[in-house]
Amino acid sequence: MKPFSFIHAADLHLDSPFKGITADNPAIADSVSSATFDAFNALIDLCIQKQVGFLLIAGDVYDGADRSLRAQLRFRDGLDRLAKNEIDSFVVHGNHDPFDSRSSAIEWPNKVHSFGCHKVETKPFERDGTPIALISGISHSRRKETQNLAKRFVRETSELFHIGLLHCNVGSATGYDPYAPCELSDLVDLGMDYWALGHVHEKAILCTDPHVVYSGNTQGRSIREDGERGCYLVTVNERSIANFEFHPLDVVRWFHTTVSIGGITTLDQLDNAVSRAVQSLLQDIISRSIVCRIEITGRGPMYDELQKERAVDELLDRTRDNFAAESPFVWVQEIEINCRPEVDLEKRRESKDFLGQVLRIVQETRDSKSTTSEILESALSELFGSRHIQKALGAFSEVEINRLLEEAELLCLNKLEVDE
Amino acid sequence: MRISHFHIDGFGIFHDVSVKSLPSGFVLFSGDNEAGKSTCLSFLRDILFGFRDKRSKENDYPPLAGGRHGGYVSIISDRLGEVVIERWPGKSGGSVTVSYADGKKGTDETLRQLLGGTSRELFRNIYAFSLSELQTIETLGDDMVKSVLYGASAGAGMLALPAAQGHIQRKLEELFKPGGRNPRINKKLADLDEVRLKLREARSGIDQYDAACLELRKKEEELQKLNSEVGSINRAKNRIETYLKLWEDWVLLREIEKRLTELPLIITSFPENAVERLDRCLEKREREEQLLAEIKLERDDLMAQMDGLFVDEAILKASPPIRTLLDKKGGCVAATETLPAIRQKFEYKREEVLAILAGLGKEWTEAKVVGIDRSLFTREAILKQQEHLNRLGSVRDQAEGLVASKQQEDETAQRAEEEAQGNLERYRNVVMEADDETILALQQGRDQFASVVKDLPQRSTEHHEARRQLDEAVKEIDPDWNETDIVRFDCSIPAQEKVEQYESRLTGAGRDAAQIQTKLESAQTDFKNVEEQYNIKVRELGKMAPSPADGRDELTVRQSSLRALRGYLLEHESLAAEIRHQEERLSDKQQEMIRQGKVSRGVSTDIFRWASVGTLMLGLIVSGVLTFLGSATEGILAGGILVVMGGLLFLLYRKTRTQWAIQVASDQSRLAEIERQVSTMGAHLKAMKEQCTDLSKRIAAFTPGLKIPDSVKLGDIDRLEIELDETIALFDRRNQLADEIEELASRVKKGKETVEELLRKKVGNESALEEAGQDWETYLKSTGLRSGVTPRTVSLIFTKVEAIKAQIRQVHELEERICQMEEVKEAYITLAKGVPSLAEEGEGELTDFLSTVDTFLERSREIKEKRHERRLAEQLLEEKKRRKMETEKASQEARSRLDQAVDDEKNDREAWQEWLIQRGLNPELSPGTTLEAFQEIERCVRLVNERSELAEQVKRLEDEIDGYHRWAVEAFKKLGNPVPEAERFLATIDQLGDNLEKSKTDLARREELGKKAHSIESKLRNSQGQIECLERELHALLQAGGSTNQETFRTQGRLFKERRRLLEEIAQKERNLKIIAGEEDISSLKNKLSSLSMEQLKAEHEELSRQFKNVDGELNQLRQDKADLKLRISNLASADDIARLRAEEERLIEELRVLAFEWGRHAIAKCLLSEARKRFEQEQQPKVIYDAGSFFQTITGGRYQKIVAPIGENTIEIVTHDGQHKRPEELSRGTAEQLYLAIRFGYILNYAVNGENLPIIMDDILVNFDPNRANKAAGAILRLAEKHQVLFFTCHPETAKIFQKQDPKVPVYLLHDGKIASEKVLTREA
Repeated sequence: MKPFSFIHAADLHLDSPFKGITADNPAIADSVSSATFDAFNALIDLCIQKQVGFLLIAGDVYDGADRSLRAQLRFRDGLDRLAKNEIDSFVVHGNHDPFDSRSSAIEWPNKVHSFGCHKVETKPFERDGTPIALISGISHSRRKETQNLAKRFVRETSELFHIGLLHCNVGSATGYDPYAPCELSDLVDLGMDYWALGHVHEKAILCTDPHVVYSGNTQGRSIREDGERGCYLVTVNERSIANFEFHPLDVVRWFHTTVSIGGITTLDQLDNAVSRAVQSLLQDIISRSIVCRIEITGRGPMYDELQKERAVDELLDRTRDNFAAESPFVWVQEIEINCRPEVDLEKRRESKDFLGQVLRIVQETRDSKSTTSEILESALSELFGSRHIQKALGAFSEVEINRLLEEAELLCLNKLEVDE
Repeated sequence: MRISHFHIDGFGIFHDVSVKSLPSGFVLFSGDNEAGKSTCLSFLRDILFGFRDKRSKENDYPPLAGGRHGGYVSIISDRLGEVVIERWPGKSGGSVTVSYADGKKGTDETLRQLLGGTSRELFRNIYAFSLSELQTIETLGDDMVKSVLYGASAGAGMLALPAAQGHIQRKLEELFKPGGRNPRINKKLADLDEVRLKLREARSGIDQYDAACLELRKKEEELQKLNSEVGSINRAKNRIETYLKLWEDWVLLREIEKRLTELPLIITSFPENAVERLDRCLEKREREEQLLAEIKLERDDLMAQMDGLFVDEAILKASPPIRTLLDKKGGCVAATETLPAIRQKFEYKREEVLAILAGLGKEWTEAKVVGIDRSLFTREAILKQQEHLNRLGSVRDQAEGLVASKQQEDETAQRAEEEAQGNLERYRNVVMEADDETILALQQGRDQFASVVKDLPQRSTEHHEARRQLDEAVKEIDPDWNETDIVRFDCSIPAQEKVEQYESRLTGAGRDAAQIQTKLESAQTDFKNVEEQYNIKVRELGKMAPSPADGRDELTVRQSSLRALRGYLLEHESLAAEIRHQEERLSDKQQEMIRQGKVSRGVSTDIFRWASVGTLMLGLIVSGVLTFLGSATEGILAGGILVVMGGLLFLLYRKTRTQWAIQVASDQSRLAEIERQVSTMGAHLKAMKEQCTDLSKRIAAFTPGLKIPDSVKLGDIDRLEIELDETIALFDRRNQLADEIEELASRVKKGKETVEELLRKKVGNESALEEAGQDWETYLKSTGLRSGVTPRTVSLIFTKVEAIKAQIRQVHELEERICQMEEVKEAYITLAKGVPSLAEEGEGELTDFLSTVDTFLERSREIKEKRHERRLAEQLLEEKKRRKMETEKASQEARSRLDQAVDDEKNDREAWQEWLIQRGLNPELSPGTTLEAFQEIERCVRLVNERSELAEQVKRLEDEIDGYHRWAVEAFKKLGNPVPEAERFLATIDQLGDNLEKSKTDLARREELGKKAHSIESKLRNSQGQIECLERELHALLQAGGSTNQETFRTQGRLFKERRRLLEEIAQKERNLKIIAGEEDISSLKNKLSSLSMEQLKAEHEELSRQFKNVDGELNQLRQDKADLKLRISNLASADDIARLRAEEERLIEELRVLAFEWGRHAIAKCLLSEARKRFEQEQQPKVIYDAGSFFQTITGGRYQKIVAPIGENTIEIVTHDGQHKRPEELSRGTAEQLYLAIRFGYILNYAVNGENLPIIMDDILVNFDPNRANKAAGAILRLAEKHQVLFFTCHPETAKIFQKQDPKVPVYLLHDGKIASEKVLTREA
């Protein structure tokens, strides 16, 4: 069998916005809005540069809910470029872009092979009229596909390298919606040579014999999707994988970094520490824009300084100004205050005075789950219980509520310690 | 502390009233209205705290019954013993005297110590109050009361609470308000809704794109069709247009061909361009002949010109002398013209000279004028003489002025001397009383002595006062101490530090004790709480169901098995449903197959066949029967109809049979297809059933492990899972409880240890405190201070001793200063007595003595001034005398200088006259006049010179004119011409010049014309030769054209040319037709055109144009539609609305999330503060409020449970028996008074003054209480009176009875008629 190579990518989510970014700088906003497209173009460029045989896309090309025509056309254009370079594309659709969300009017190049949603189809990858490999796949037919689609796959009796292409949720603890659920064993037992999976946005190699791989998404879109994002380049020789490597494609990379206020006594020192933290991110990255969130941690006198009105906003502005001239851009999305005052809260809690009483109630609320719900529910129901806000933001997690309690405790401390 | 007795000297209605031996405890004062209860209350307040200012609105009770305003109150204090406070009218609240029982006097400080810093307001509102104070809560506004009432001491955070709550509330309102529009979260939500609405609209983009693409395809197909139609129309139209275009050429061609056929044929060949050549030749010949004639004319004209020329040879020869004569003629003419003007000038000058000479005098002639010496030296001598005479005149005038002024000065000096002499006479009697030195000493010492006289008494008073204050200050520290003790007392830093060490040791030990106590109480409470929690948890664990037999891992395994089983069951059910569905489909297919089979077989066309036969038969039968019955016509008609119907049915049968045959073939193929499908489905069904069986086996494999039947359903699995979850939860809860119990047990143990440890610390601390006390006492003894004084007091003593030491230094300084002043005084008086007029003074008042000295000094000063003025007058007289002598001398000098000047002037004038005479001039002339005469002489000489020059010029001109005439006459003679008359002399010379010029010109012209005549002759010969050549050429051409004359030659040439032109035109037209029509075959084209007409072509073209216009309109519309669609598709394809809106949506969500978090943080903080406040108010109210609450509960018989002071608010609330909170203003008047009374009790109980309880005075405060509550209040007051002296004033016998009922031994004092007396005494007296 002739050696060949292919690229496995998934979850392009073309034209879908970044979550939690508030940049009003036009240059940054433009970069961010075109980031998914730019990453996709980088993918196409990589295919052409590496002269791969074909490209596999394992679902969620775009957000079907958005019905973005622009995304579909840009996707078509990208695949057209591949076709003109004699590179095939094999595409399945996932929960975000189910089969019926496609535009019927778009004409696809002849080297693009889309898989339907009614049954698993098997298509050959040919070179000079000779089949080299087989690709089996099936698309999601609706947004919430609950059936185990993996079970519909069948290994052909052919001796050719056989790839399974699927958008699915392997196992139940991935932290993603349980669409097209299946177990790893379902995939392994089928005897395929390579499973190109999509749905989970973090790259993951679930198994190496055979390879069961999530390539992750090509461009991170929120702080939850930090770190590098891209695709896998796979080289096959004699029905076995000769080379397997990851290629980053993201044009804007998300980072989360922490700065401790321990030992810092002036705003200047804090500014420097924050700038150093961002600078260290820049050292590890080449030719990519950065969106980062800085978490201020630790315990020290700067806590009180940061509690002042607009102190954090001003720190954020100063930091942004420091990196305003960077190109590609550096955008500090948020400075999250997660530090503590120098006060020994546990000791303070024991005091008999009013503040001690407040702190003890916080501790009780934290310790006792029943009281937690009672106090917090009565406190938060006015806004968080409103259907309007739930529709907009969804429900708040327990971790978030606990965080709120912690911040409320510090707020009380800050406000009541004024006259001490 | 209690009031033992008081005495009113004069206060309101009271005068000289004493109340003695007041007991401790409760004392009732009873009296009618206006008996003086309020007066007594005010008296006690005023004596203790001072009379009120006149500006106060309260009654100041002036003595109405006589006596001095004021009196005294005797108080027995636990600390100070009996102290009498006496107050009489005076500044700042009256003059107060404080004295001890032993007669020693106290100070204001003693009074302050006695009252422990209680302010007048506090005393009035808490300790000595009437109904009016009781009725308002504002009277509880004293800071001290406030702080204890409202819990200012309740610890950190509480004071900041209202601000914190306010801040949080504001923040919450700023962020969110249900139903609000402006708060930030509300705004963001509205923005988000709007964006989402737009997003929904934008999402229809794909449908629009698909529809637009479909429409575009349709349009493109239509466009293609129309394009081909337009093409065919265009082709036909183009063909017609071509024919129309060439039609004109075609018509012309036909005409030319016709003209050619009509042309006669004469000769076949003719020389090329023969006619043109003939014409050209003829034309040339004509031109040459004309040229020849012109040359001949020119030759004749030349000859005529030559004949007209004349040359004078004689005049040419005499050319040089004539030229010279002409050249010099100008000079002669100019001299003739200038001469008369010069002669006139000469005459003017002569007359001027004569006029000047007449002006100078008769004796003056031209010769005298020219001969006189007019040199510069002479004129210089005249000028000098003039200046010298002027200067001498001026010297004389100055000398005369000087003489006059010196005489005036001399007279003035005389008068001044006389005045000075008179002035000196006034100072003859000025004499001094003492010598200058004594007077100077008295003057210098005067101010010092005066200040001594003024300051000495004041300093003495100050000294006395300072001494007194010093003594008092010393006594304040210790009555036994004196100044020496103070000086000896060590106030050094080490001594103070030592005391501070003692203080810190004592207070430290005290604070430690308090802290240990607090910690101990806290630890004990914590210990109890933890122990209680521990017991609760243990009980909770006991109540819980027993732990399941299986372990956690086994349960988890079972849980996963159940989940797997659920998967299999789901799959099994899905498969079973699919099998059922497939079976149903199979069954349907089988039935369809059966139906299909039946259809193929069942329906046939026989029915039509048999119906047609039947009908025919029936027709025949009916016809036969009716004919047989005699109705032949009807029979034939009916039978005919039926036969026709039968025939029709037969035809129908034929047709149906053909269609049916086709249908049968199709059905059979369909049947075969269905059979194939049934077979496939059967196989598929079988496979599924096998899979189902396999699944059942897998399910069965799980059931034994899970201890459930094989026939388990999904519902069972759900139930089992819930049971399993509960079991696991129970397991986890038990484990958690166990962990918690374990932790609590450890905390209980730790708490117990903490309590024990704290108890040990407490004991240790107590002994440390005792030891520090003993050391302190030892120190006190060593310093001479009394025992019992605290380190803080000693610190105060340090400060005071320092102050007293400063006072001592001040007193000593004052004494020294007084001594110095006495010395100064004595010295001055001794000095003054040295003066005779002052010798008797100095024995009386110092001020009188000072004024006598001042008078003496003033007198001495005046005498001294007069002495000085006399010395000045003497000096002035001397000066005036000297001045008079000087002026006399100056006057004499001026007169001698005047005489000298007059002499000089006379001598000089005589010398000048001598000089004039010498020069022959009039001796009377002044130098000025002489100078003017010299100027006239000068002018006369200049005019004489000018006149001589003019005479010379006239002569020169006359000579020049005469010379020219002479030379001209000689020239005329040489030429042989006669000499002309003088008038024509110059004109004749001009004529001669003109003749000479003309002869020269004609000679030159004759030579030029000779050359030209030669050239013309040559041209003439040449032209004649040309004409001969042309004749020969003409002849040859005619011969070549076969003609003998020009006429024939020309006719033949024209015909030949016309023929050739027509042939060329025909060829050209044919070429045009071929090109326009695009056809090669011209004859075929000619044939086609011959068959057409112009009208026919135009009609065809019009029709095609109409068709084209219609189609083209449609085409354009389609193209426009297509372009619009493409644009629309392009717009839809590039629209980034969704991306932009989604980005906007995400941005808003993020901002909303941040704001919601901010809100949540504040909302929880608000709840925490509220909860903490509730608990704090419940658990840790100040003791004052607690005790007040107890009183209030007692007074109101339990209707009100307690009083609370909300944290951070300057107000109180009352909790009713059913837990409701009320504000004081919501209570009835009586209840409010009870509340305020209770609060006062709470305060009084908790805050003793310096460890002593102040007496309490109440003025009829129970009047608004109902009997029941009055009884209870009275009981409370009596209980209060167990520790405090209570003086209760009332005018209500019922009130008195209430107290007496509860305690019959209550001492009662009666107020009546301005007297106060004990009831017992009155009873005894009665």
